[in-house]
Amino acid sequence: MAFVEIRNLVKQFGEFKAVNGLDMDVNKGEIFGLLGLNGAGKSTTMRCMLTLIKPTSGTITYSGQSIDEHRAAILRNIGCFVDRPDHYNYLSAIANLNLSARLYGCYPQKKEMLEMLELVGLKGKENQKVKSFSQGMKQRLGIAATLMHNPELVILDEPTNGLDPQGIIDLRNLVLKLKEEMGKTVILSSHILSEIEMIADSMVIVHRGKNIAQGKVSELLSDKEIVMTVETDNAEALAAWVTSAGMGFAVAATLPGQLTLKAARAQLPELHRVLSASDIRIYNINTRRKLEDLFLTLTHSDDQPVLAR
Amino acid sequence: MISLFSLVKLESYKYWSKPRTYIGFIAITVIVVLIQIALYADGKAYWDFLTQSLSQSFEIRGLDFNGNMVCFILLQTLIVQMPLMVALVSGDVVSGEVQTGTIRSLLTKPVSRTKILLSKLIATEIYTLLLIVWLGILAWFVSLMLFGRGDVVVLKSDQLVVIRSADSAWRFLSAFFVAFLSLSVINCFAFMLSCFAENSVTPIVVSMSVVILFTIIGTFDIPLFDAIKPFLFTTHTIVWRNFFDNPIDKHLIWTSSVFLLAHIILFSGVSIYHFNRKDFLQ
Repeated sequence: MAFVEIRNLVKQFGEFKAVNGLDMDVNKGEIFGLLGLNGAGKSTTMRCMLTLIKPTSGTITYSGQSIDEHRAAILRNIGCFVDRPDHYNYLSAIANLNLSARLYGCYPQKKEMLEMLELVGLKGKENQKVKSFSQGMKQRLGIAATLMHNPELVILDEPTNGLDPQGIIDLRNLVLKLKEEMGKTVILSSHILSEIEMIADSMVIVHRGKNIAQGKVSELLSDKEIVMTVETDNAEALAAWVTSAGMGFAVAATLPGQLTLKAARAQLPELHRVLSASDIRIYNINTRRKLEDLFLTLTHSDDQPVLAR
Repeated sequence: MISLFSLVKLESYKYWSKPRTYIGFIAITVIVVLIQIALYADGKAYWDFLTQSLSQSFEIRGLDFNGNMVCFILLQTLIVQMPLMVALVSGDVVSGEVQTGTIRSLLTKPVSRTKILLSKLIATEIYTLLLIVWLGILAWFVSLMLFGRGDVVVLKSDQLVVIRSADSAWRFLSAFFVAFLSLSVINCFAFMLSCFAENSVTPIVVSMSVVILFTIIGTFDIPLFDAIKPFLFTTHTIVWRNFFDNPIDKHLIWTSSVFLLAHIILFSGVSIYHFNRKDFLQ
């Protein structure tokens, strides 16, 4: 049994189905990524998981317990922020932390709160009013508030929103720390695909409210198609050479100085052999099977705008 | 599980950390102190002005300007403004958290929505009570200290009621209590609107507008309005004045008090019902 199980989740607003029969399994102790285009239904799913929205139908269970029947007991073990962490701007950072913890029935000592602020990089900011915080600092404080009551599960919706590059790296390290050192299960959504690719163990791709792919990130990235980019003097001639080899390699694009090929992973040794056998100069070969490619392959259709690269 | 009492404490803490909460207290203090200073400096002229028409027909003796009378004048003046001060704060309680997004954080805590809402409602009731208590301290106790004790003279269009000083204390206390009940209706009304709104401006403006509209309808003697007047809560929010009648119309006070109480229950019930079913999409 998965730690978090979602079965046939539907959330309908009038005629529009924001979530349309979504299934999802999250195992204990893993970092789970929720990926999808804007409006795919990620946030609605997370809101349903946290009882901010009542699903039209479907079930959500945590360790086999339904959120409908055991709401308080389940939420006590979840730390989260949805969309963005929201704080009382007229209160200090430490007052916000204290308030959040008390709502979970915890009464943390000042020392514990200061340690938590230090963990998220807000040491020395405890008495500063949140209204003077940058978005990045608010994000860090939001993480601190989600952890203050030591939850088993952390749910973060777009946690890298508004963070600078260093903030994103810090957050990534913090999420990894949550899993590796503190043994927490983390569910996160992100519009930065590389973030999911870099830190998630498993993921689900949500499209038009449905789960269109789910599994271990490593498994999802290793099958079927590999994209190979070849830097060369004569891309057209090289494309003709590869095609004439008759091995079924697909030429994806030919640009001046660059040829893009697609092949199954098992075909790669043969493709390398064919390329090296040509007389055309080759400067660099780059093979990739990134999440972005998988994501775009699965979600792209004519009537659907593709996520900006 | 966090208790309702602890939740009320947390809500009150948030409430009293906001500068907006103090606007009502500052406004009351400024208005009361200004009127007291003015009356202290020139109260005799004001009293002569009030009794001008009476003194043409009667000789008025033994009715001096005093603290009880100042308190009565202040009550008449301020009870009109206080609903606006209450609405200013209550209209923001839920919608303000929706607007800033903190409601999401609150509702993902292991506390039922009903409990969260009740704690907010109780916190606003405490605020309303303290506002009335503050008015009582300033308008009554301070006036008694400045102007001394004396009889209360209530000038009406068709009669003059004199309440003896010894008979005034319980009337003031009862009037303050019923005024609290009246303000609670406004509080619950603004609170209910706050549960429906996504921003804090709308419930504040709407509740203030409704109070003003109902009050205007209540002041016009038009047959059409007369038919609906008994059903407007503003008709009953001024029932505190009846404690300064002689004899007191107890039936009217009871009826209005029950009407006000029913409105408090109705507005609170609608708030809880709606809040429990609301999807938080923002």
